[in-house]
Amino acid sequence: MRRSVRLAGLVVFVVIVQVTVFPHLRLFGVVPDLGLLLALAVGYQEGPEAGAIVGFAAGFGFDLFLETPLGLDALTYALVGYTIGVLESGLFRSPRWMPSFLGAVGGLAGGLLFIALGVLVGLDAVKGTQGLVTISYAALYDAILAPFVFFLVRWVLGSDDRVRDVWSTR
Amino acid sequence: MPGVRRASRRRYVLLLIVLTCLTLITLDSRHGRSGALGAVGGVAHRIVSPVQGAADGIARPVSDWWNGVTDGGNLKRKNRQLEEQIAALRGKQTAADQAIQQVSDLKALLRLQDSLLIKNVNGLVVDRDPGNFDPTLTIDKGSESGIAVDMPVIAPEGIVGKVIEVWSGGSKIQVLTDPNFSVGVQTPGHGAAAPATTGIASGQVNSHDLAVEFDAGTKVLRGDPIVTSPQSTLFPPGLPVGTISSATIQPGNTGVSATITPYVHLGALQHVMVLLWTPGTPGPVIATTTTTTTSTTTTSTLPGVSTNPSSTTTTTRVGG
Repeated sequence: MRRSVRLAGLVVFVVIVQVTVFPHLRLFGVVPDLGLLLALAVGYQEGPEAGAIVGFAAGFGFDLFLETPLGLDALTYALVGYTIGVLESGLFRSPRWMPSFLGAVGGLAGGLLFIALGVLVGLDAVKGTQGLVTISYAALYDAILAPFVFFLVRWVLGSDDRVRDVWSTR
Repeated sequence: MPGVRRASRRRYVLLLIVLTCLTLITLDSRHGRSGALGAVGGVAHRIVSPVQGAADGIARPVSDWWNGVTDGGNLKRKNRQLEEQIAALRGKQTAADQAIQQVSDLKALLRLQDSLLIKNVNGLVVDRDPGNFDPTLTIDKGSESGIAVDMPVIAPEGIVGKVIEVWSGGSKIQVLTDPNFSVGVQTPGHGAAAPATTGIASGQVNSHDLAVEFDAGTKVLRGDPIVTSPQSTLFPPGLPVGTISSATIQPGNTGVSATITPYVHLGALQHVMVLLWTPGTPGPVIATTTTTTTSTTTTSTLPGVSTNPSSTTTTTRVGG
């Protein structure tokens, strides 16, 4: 099966799990950003273009279930997925703690980006210090779940060999 | 050269995604989820609704266990139950006070009010706050039950919010603590010198209380029961909202700023009632309602409410 089809299935799966299961499994009152983690994992493994596309798709899917403006999560996830893909090209090795580290940093960066974009579009809910506390907890949750999502992406894509630059042609 | 071409392609893809997102955000902000965007959202909800219902059934016990692990177990559960009981009692007390006060004033309108009918639908809360900045509830009843956008949503304790999105098999509710939510409210009044006053209450950022401003000279006291106002275009008048938790006179005595602590405990809500009432149409004029059954006539705070969490559509007779 084409990798892009498998990734599309993974995006749908992640969105459904995010909106049906994780509202019941809150940590310190917050939910994780599974779509963001997926964008991070794909960007890390497949490169910036794939990270951006998967981030957009996952964010758009999640946006459909939120009251926040449609496209806000899509833009956030896409930019974070792209950035991780670009930064990853400068890494020579991948230590075991890397997924958790990326989950925490990516989650924090994604949260800050979401807040910044939210303020720009006039989203009142993200204003104030509580927003920063929320994204900090969410980043912690993301760090815990990141190894599982990275493993899932590797498993779905089927191999460890990097195919980053030819992803779109497969 | 191929490397340069790939890098250029990446940038085009990113640019395309960013422009698409900005277009979506602009369309959504200006026109809301109507048209094609609303249709896509409706399809997504319809697809996920069955999964959501099933996941809710399975996840609720897991969720309770998880909350026990992360939030202190029994203590929190008991606390939640107690808060729910207190909120219910407060709501009942407020409505009873309102009833006594209003019965005498509205005696002349009794026959007219008695003929007014409001249908309502009980819904089970199957999902809440799917995101971290999205204070909404999702229920298992939607357009097939006659629910439409902007219909008021209540609980035994008081108002919950309004319907903002509907699809077949579910609805999304904007809760009253959302900063974008506003409702017309009324104070109880303190004698002839300080009559009842109305204002607009709104949700606040990072707070579970509502903020409201009244005209200068308004007398409000901590603990005063607040109900929806007759001028409210969103809710029928007289429904319990909450109690005054603080009130301060604005500089220069230009008005009174107050905060209202809602009666409803949103985190503990399991069932809510959607009033099949469209804003602007004739409806109940006071909070106290009379539910007529085949054998008895009983008076309750809110229509036919919630001790019966069944999913049937009921008809409530509104009267004095």
